[in-house]
Amino acid sequence: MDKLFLLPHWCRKIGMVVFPISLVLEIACLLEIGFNLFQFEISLNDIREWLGLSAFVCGDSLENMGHFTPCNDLLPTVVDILFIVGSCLLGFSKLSDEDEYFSKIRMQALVLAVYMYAAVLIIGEILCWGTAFLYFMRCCIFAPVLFFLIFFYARVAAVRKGAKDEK
Amino acid sequence: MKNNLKVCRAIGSLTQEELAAKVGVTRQAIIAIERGKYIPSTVLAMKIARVFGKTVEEVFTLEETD
Repeated sequence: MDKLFLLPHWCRKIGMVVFPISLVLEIACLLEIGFNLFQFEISLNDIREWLGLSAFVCGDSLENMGHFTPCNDLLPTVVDILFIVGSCLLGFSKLSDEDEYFSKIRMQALVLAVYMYAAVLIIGEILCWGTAFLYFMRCCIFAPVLFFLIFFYARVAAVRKGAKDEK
Repeated sequence: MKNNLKVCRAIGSLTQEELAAKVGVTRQAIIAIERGKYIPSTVLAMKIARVFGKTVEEVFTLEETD
């Protein structure tokens, strides 16, 4: 089990709080619901510019071309980070009764999630192009971890229900 | 891989829960092994065999397709 680098069980409880909140906020961000409610005084782009990160990572030419338009909103970044942390805590913390059988289920869910993500990417490649493709990719950025969480917890629930029924 | 875990358990008058506790896994894992849905690791197979005082081959047997 240790070889899977799983987090301790208590991390899952934090994930169960952080993940739903960040999921709702993430959807709100994608749909641009209530965007203007969360404007911050200090823009993230100012910080990035101050650190020289934008130019270092993206290159001046790309920024001048308008591919990375300045955004004075910290919310999407904060929500993204919360979502990443929450999903990792929820997906990769040990269950209360974690054993090698659940580890196998975890691995299967991970493989299925990658296949599903590949299928979604192929569909996106075929159906979207230009700016629509960028928006599509923005929406799909967290799809692998979402698919993994769905497959894993659905399978765990089914296994537990099966065990209950057998009693 | 086939197994006669259910038979061994019945002979030893052990419930799934008791066997699971003895070998340190969940009851769900024992159920999956009995149904042939999950092949245990070598360590777990040896632990299960030791509970019944048998060798691993006496509890688990390879099929021709394995």
